[in-house]
Amino acid sequence: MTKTEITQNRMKQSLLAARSLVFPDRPDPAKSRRIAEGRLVASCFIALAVFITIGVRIVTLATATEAASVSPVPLAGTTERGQILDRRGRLMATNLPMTVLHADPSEIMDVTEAALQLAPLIAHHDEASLTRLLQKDARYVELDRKLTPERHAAILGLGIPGINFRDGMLRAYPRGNAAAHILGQVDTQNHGIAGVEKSMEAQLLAGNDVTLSIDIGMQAILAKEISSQINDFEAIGGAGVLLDIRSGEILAMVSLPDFNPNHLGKISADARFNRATKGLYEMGSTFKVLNTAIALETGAVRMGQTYDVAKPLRVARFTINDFHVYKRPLNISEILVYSSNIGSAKMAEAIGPQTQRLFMEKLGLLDHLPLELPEIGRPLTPRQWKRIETMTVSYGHGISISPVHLASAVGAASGDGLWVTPTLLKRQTGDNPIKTRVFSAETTRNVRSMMRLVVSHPDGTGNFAEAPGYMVGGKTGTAEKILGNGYDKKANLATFVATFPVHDPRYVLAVMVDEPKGQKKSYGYATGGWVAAPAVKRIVEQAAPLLGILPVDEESPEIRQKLRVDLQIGEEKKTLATF
Amino acid sequence: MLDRTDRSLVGTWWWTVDKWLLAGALILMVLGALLVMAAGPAVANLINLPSQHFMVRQLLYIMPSLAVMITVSMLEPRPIRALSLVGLAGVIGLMIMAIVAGSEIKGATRWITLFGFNLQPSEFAKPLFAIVSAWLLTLWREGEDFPGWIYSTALLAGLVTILVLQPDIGMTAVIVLTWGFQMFLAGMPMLFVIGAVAVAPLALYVAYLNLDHVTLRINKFFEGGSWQVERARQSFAEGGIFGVGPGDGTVKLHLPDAHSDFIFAVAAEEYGALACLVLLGIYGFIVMRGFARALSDEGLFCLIAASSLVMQIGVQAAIHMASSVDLIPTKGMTLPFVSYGGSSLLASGLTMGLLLALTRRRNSWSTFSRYRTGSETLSVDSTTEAKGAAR
Repeated sequence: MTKTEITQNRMKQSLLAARSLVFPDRPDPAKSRRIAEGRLVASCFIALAVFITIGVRIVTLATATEAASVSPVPLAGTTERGQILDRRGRLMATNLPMTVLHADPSEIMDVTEAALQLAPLIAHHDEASLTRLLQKDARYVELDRKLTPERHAAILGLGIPGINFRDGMLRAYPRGNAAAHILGQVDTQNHGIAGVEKSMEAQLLAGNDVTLSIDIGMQAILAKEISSQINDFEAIGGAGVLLDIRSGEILAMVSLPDFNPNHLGKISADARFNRATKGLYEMGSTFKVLNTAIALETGAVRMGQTYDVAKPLRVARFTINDFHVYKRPLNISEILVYSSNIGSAKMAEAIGPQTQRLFMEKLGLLDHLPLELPEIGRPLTPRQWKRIETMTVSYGHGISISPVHLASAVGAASGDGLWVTPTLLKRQTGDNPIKTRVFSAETTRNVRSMMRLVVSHPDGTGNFAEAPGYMVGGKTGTAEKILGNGYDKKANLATFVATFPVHDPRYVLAVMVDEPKGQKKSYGYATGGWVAAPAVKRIVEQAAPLLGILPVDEESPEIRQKLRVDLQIGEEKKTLATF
Repeated sequence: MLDRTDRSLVGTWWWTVDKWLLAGALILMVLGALLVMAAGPAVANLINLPSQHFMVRQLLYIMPSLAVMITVSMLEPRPIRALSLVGLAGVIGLMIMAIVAGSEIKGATRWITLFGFNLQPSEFAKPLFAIVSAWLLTLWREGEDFPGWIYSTALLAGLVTILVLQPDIGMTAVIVLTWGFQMFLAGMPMLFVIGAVAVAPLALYVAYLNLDHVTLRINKFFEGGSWQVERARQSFAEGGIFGVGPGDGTVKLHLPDAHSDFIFAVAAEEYGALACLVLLGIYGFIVMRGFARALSDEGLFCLIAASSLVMQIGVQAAIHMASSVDLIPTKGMTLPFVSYGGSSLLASGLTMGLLLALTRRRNSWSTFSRYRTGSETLSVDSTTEAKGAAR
């Protein structure tokens, strides 16, 4: 054998070996049988493993109860929408079982006959509209969402094929218009489209109740008194906020005109509009409270310091005027009590733009509030914050905020100096509201005492807000509204922001009346003092007893101790203690 | 009832048939009827049929299915092979007819109308192919020079072509799996086995790239949030261990094909996880018992044919159940004996009948195999091998 032959042989052998790896020689039957048996046993184990895996999975799925909540589409009718309650647990939104009447047009044999028979029994349809519905090329048309039991029985009695009934849930608001803007509404599929119904959708859908910070009683008082002022002064609307400044809870919040959330549709955009949270207004002189507090807090101004307010203030092309002209210099208490724009602007100049802006930010006035509502407005603030803007902001112009913004900011300036995030949900025991210190206790004591004088001093602008014994302090505001290109002399915004009781500050009440017209009995005036202040007086008189506030004697030493009694108002040395 | 010495057709059958498998099939039929009663009315209302439509028909179909099962199980292996060959030829003819002139349901032409009934011939192709292919492979293993595996592969290629034309991916998968399993048992070289296992994901990937609905299903599986699967999962959660009670389920109202492709989910909601485990257990039992009986038979043909029939039932049940519990992408697959459907029920009856026939205890059967097997031959074998080693 030559070498080449050996090599060839080897190659042949290795080729054969490779071939047998792929195409093995047919084994004898017995071996085939053994291979088959072995492989079948192996298959048994694989099958067993597969079945055990499925079994384990079944048990996991069945015992995992949270798997149901994973579902993105909640099945209609499986959980009832949660209720909305007021702070004392009284029902504000609930569900009523209702029968929904619907039809399958393809099953209706005689449309004319069916329409004729059904027409008198269905609320929102006549024969013609029913005929049109029943002729639709659809498998489902809804005829009535709120079928009464009597009509249900009557329609059953007609025995029309293709007419079907289904259990439905009707969202009902037993208090009608009260708190309509807070509650909002649901659509025909019971999904929230406004208010808390929308913002708390997830929680309500899960079947959980929502308890609001609102007190229905307070809500009714505010609505009644503000709407009476709107009527008396032929105003176009109004708003009011009652805030607990210690917890940040909003006890009442109204926006007028309002609507009945039980009726879907047919509601004007104006009625739907929430003036209290979404409406942005220049708040006018009520801002002087904040201005005074900032000036005192920063040390830019001392107590008792005076300013010359005799001449109008000219800044660039603007002129700042006062309602009355005071020839003598006014101290800062007088500037607030008489509501001097010139004095406020001069105080603001001492504060400076940066500092003022910083305080406005701390008071939550530069951004929208984290309220539990979809309808919240973001304040309109000066684009550039220079000297002139600082001056106008001091008396509430050049910055537009919502009434809730105003209430929470004044709450910080007249309470214990802390700014508390306002909320529409009842605080539960244990949850601490977020509080930021803005003012010292000394500053707010001074501010409160001045606010008291606005109401109690005969020369104050807010005398009509006096509710004897309840120690109301406050500040009036009358702002000309911007309509079109400039300020409109006839379109006013009359506001009053009150804090009570001033010796133990707990509540802030902001009342705003939109475009009141001067009346004979108000000598043609439509100012905050004439329009909003009387509402505040009546609201406090009714609300204070419900809030557990007892009337006090202002002259008693305990009360006087808590206020500054040495504030000088007017040329004769009239002080807080003199009447 | 029947004497052990009874040599009549029925008597012999009774004493030789595997009663465990028979009982398993009968229990499944009863459970299936119960489940279709639960799921049927909801689906019927959904597609505007009388609410008892599916229930009545299911009960009607059980009778012929039972008859087919019992009749077929009385046959001996030899006639079974002959009849299967003829049957498969006929079924392939019908399948071609279905493509050419069949009625289209949900985008696929897999149905033909026969005597007023909609029939899905491919359902019957499954067990018949298993028998014929097993026969061809056994001939290759036991015959001298018969390339059975080539014929079997050619037959598979033909069937797959028709099924892909319909298109019916689920059925294609089951038939390819059947063939693969048979080749595996018939001693396909390990190299090929490993190769096939490696190629399977590739085939799935090709299907994923080229078939729109496969792309969709697989994407849905990995992204989650498929509507049907979410509902199916929900039905397990709702049902818990003991179920919400027969007829009280609500998820079935939102599941398409609750009476067929998602009947397992209905079982989960109304009868609970316990009932699902019982169902799973019965299939598992049928598979194990079937494999065991196939092993104990002496002939290679019976082993391969019977175990591949068992595999068909097992794979179909496993795919159905695994889809329902979101272990694999949804694949419309009926649950043998349980799901609604005349073709499915009849085919299940045929499959079980064939399985029962092939697993009957028989003394004379070994003679059917041309080569005797057993310890004697094996020992001879091993001595030869020993000698070889010594040499």
